Parts: sequence; C-alpha cells; structure tokens
Amino acid sequence: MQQKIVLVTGKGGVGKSSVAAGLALKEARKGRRVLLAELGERSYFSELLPSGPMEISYQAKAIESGLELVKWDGESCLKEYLFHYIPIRRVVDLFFENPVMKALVQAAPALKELAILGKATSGKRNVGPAFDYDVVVVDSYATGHFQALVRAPQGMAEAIGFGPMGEQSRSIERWICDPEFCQIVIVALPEELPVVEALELSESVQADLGQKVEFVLNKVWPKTWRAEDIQALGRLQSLEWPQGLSDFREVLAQSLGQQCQYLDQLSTRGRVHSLPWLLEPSSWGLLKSLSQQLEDL
Amino acid sequence: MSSFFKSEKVIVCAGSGGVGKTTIAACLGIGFARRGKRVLVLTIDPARRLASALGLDMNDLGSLVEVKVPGQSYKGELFASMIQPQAVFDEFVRQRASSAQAAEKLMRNSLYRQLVSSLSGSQEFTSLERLLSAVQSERYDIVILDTPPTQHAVDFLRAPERIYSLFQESVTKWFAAKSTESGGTVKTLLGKVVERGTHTALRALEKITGSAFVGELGEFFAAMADLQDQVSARSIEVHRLLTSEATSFVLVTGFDHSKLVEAKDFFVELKRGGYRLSGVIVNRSQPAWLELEPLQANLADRAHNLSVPHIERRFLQLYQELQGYYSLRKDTYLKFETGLKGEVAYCLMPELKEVVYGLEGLESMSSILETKMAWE
Ligand SMILES: Nc1ncnc2c1ncn2[C@@H]1O[C@H](COP(=O)(O)OP(=O)(O)OP(=O)(O)O)[C@@H](O)[C@H]1O
Ligand SMILES: Nc1ncnc2c1ncn2[C@@H]1O[C@H](COP(=O)(O)OP(=O)(O)O)[C@@H](O)[C@H]1O
Ligand SMILES: [Mg+2]
Ligand SMILES: [Mg+2]
Repeated sequence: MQQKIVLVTGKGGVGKSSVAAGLALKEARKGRRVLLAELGERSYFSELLPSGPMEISYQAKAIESGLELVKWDGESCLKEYLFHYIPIRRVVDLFFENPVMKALVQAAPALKELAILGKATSGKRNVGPAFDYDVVVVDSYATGHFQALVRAPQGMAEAIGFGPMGEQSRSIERWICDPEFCQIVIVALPEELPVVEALELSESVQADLGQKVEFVLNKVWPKTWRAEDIQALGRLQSLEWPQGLSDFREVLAQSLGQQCQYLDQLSTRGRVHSLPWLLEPSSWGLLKSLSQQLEDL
Repeated sequence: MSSFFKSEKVIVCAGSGGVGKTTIAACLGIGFARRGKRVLVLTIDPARRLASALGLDMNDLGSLVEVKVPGQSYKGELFASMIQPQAVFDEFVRQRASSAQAAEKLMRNSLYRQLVSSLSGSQEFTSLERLLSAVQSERYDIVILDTPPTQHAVDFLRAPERIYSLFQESVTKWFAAKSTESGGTVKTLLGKVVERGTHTALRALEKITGSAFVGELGEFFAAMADLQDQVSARSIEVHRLLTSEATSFVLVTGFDHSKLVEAKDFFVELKRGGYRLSGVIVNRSQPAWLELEPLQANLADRAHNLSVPHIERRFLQLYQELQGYYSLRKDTYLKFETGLKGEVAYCLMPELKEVVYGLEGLESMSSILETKMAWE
C-alpha cells in the first residue's frame, strides 16, 4: 500500500531533480519500493543512469534494486484516467485524436495537472492500474507551474461540481492536503532570489493546502567552515597567494555569512535541511552521495 | 566569433528558468541605451532588487505602464515595464471584444479566470501580445522581451499555439453552437453540427466531467468566439513579427551539461521554425575570480603538508577542488562551443563575485557582458 508521496519543487535550476533523486535513493536503500517520477517533456535522468542511457517514458523502468523511474506527461495520465472510466480503447483514442479535444486538453487549465496528481496518488486511492510503491517521489515543476499543479484539484472540483471527475478531484485534494501522506519539499540555493521564492511559495502552499513544507538549502559550503575560520585565514593570508585565492577567501567569507542568514530566514517557515555543494560532475555517483546527506529528511 | 546584433528592433531573451534571463535582458537594454537607442525592456517577475533598480515598484504600477528608468545618463534612453498576464489579458479582452457587455461576460466566466491565472500558455500569450503592442506603438527603437520561466527554452515557442488553437475556428464554432442551443440536449445538437469523432469525444468528456462542466465550457467558448477573429489576426501578426528580419532571439543558458544540451535543441528548433538566433549567452559560468591555472608548486605542497595550519590546508584543498570542478565543466562547454562554430555568436558570462545591486550594479554587469560579447 502506498505510504507517502513527496513533491519536490523550487526555482528553476536550484537542484530539484538532484534532491528528488537523492530522496528516492535514500528510501530505496531502506528497503522501500520507490518510484521516482519526472514531469515534463524530457527526462533529466535518462542520460545519468548507472546502466547507461535509457529512454524514459510512461512505462516505469527498474534502475536499481527497489527503485523505478518514470516520466509522466499530462496527456498520458489523462488518457489512462479516461480509460479507467470508459474502458474502450477506441473511444479513448478518438477522444485524443479529435482536434477540438486536443485543443481543449492542451490549453484547458488544470486538466493535465489534475490527471498527474491523480496518477501520483492512485495507489492510495486504489484506482487505475496496479501501483505498487511504498513511496513516490515527484521531481515536480518549478514554482509558478507547481502552484498551478497543486491548485488543480480544488479548482477542478469547483468548476465541475458533481460527476465522477468532481469526486475524483475532491479525493485527490484530500490526499495532497494530508501531511501524513503528502510531503512538500522546496529546494533553494543560498542566494536571495531562490530563498525569497521559496518563502513565498511556502506561504501559498500553506494557504492552498493548509500544509507546512520542508526546505532543502542546496549547495551550501560545508558546515565545517565557520566565520572564525575565515578570520583565522585572513591572518594567514600570504603575499604569495595569487589573486584567485585572495578573492576566494573573500567570496567564502561573504557567502558563509549569507548562508547563515538564509538558514535562519527559512527556518521561520519550516524545517530546513542543508545539503553541501559536492564538487563532483553531475552523475549517478553524485546523486548517490547526495542521498547519503539526506538521511534526516 | 560573429557579432551578436545587426539592426534588430526586437530581441527575445529565451532560456529555461533561473539561468538569468531577466537580468541579461536588463543588461542588454543598458547596452543599447548606451549606444544611443531608445529602448524598452519588458520584464516578467523580476527579483525585487532588479525591479527597484529599474524603477518598477511592484505595488503601484499596472502592467501597461512604461517607466523611464530613474538615475540614468546614456546617449539614448532606457524604459522598463513589467508584464502581468492577468492585466494584459483583461486589457486585450476589453479592447477587442465586440461590446463592453461581451467583454464583461467573458471576464466573469470562471474558466476564463482560471485560464488567465494558470500557466498553460497564458503567460506566453500575454507577453507576446504585450510585445506586439509595444512594437506597434512605434515609441521605441528596440524592444527587449524577457520570457516567462519555463522548464525548457523551447516551451516558450510552443506555448502560444496552445492558446491560439483554443480559438481555432472549429473549436470555437463548435462549442459556441452548442451553447446557443442551451436547453437542447447534447445529442440533438451533435446530430447537426459535428462529425462522428467529435460526437464520441464529447460524450467521453461528458461522462468524466459531467454535463455542468461541459455547459460551462460551452459558455466559455461562446464568449471566446466573439474574440476569435481578433485573436487569429493578432496571432498572425505576432508570428510575422517573430520571424521577421527585425527580430532575433538570444538564448541564455547555464554552465552545465543538461543546460547545454537543451541549448542545442533550442537552436535546432528555432531554425526549424524560421526564427533568427543572435547568439547564445552561457551565463554564470566559471566565476570571474577563479583562476584555473594550477597553484604554484609551493602552494600546492602546502595543501598537503601536515606542518601547515589545518585551516590553511583545508582552504587550499577546497580551492583546488573548485578548480577541478570548473575545469571539467569548461571541457563540457568547449565541446558544445565546437558544435556552434560559425553558426552563431556565443559568449561566456562569468558568475560575478558581488550580488547585483541597483542600476549601478546592473551597469557594471552590463559592461562585463559587453566585453564578453565583443559588442562593438
Ligand atoms: N548539492 C549539489 N552538489 C553538487 N552539484 C549539485 C548539487 N545539487 C545540484 N547540483 C548540480 O546542479 C545542477 C542543477 O541541478 P538540477 O538539475 O537538479 O536542478 P533542477 O532544479 O532540477 O533544474 P531544472 O529547473 O532545470 O529542472 C546539476 O548539474 C546538478 O548536478
Ligand atoms: N552572471 C551572473 N553572476 C552573478 N549573479 C547572476 C548572474 N546572472 C544572474 N545572476 C543572478 O541570478 C539570479 C537569477 O537571475 P534572473 O535574471 O532572475 O533569472 P531568470 O530570469 O532566468 O529566472 C539573480 O539574483 C541575478 O542577480
Ligand atoms: Mg530538473
Ligand atoms: Mg525571470
């Protein structure tokens, strides 16, 4: 039975995919059956996989013991959803080939978003094809689109009212508002803009879902560096240092100060986990290392 | 390296979220103003710091206001404006609906309200609408458009089609016809208006969403039908503008493998669509302060010499790790660059040491960018 779902979001480029994969690997290591789901048109992980590049699409694929990877696009989710109600392939195909419906599905607010959340919670709600995972980690959209995603069930429930889809919307909404089942993780970098965006997003999530979020402050300088160390370094600074080293000392001092400030700011609105900047190239190995650092999340 | 700009009137800054589009758009604006142009920068969701640097105070400015950026002294003039999709959409409806009542009716529809505030294409639609109005006002020599944060750079090109296809004749007519026959059941209507495929599709839709939703949808499209001619005329104009000689795209991207792959895809897609690309700016690349040359032998030794204070050793090691990290990224970049040779202009914009503050901060970033772009 599906135990929980984790939605990972944040500003573009802050490390959403890396954190999502780290979390999924951590859960799998504990012996849980885990699904890592990507949204959007392209797979970020397909080229990083330990067994070489693999095409990732709507059919989940096993990539490690206990871990499967999938890419959900709104249209496939919607197709599956429709098929659940009208189990006649021909009708479903007709629906999606029809230009009028195509236009509608492309632009109609929230239809695809609703179907994606429906899929992500289908194990808990016992609908659709077998969905046999303990934990589902969704490498979700960046801030703005994420808001549209989590608002979709409520919006649809209001727009539709009754009927099967209205009921579905309400049940999806209930589950994503349940803090025991749905965890929302906002990733930020120790920079002003991603932090401000994370704080604002946490407020809107609270307002929309009544949910508290958790933060990951990603790419922080190792915690072992403290302000005193930098001062000590200042005293050691030698004339032999090339410009790069002196500049780096300054940069490090400045960013350590800011980092603390951002940690404090975020912790007013939720638990914060800091994740060190690992100076490795992007690879499966990096994701594994990150997963080790995410033990307490 | 070829040069970025020829004699563009419109520059579109594209790229995926968080790479620095909004900041780069502002820097390019300064660059053109310095060269004597009258420039408008249309920004989307600027960071507060950037907004105030441009004189755009979020609270009391509507989306249609174009302000002259305060504190400037250029040969030309720099203006800025912030795009707020909802306001642009409402304005569009008000100006182009056949009557005030028709406009009101549409704006009251709950699907309309959701459409304009949700992100499936409406931000892209409104930013292009805003761009077109600004160009047609003929008040500027050049307009620079920042684009909404999308997952991939190409999303910006595809999104407007989603909105336009909603207004396509077949869609609007079909739904419009349906709603005027309110009272009549779907079945009788379908017999008349549509071919079998649509019939089945609509039944499927009704089955999952219920008749109330289909009714609401009908009203929405009936109201939209009123705008259909205007929208398709505008969409043709927008497309003509975007593919004209006067317009060019600047792709802003990041210094990492997946961003560079994405940049290449975007490049291909632009060409296929008949758009022009001025060049690629790889932003936040290797920090300006980091030198990649290995440390001198004596310093490198100190990094591992146990008689050196621990703190200094750790510091030297960290610096070397950073050098290794950025060298690898640079190699990845160089492969990408080789693929671009001769095709298009490109440059590396370093990660700056200091946070960009105020107009002065932007101006100094802009100066660096100009050097990197070898902008005459
Ligand atoms: N803690 C970390 N240490 C080292 N590198 C990291 C870390 N977190 C992320 N990265 C690297 O930073 C880059 C951006 O991360 P990632 O792709 O996960 O971000 P994202 O938020 O998913 O981006 P997008 O918005 O484009 O989907 C990648 O190259 C990734 O390998
Ligand atoms: N070359 C650079 N060096 C340092 N900081 C930068 C650079 N380019 C952009 N930034 C900073 O990065 C952040 C994100 O930039 P922004 O332009 O808002 O990105 P986008 O519009 O693509 O989301 C801002 O805080 C900006 O000041
Ligand atoms: Mg990602
Ligand atoms: Mg921006």
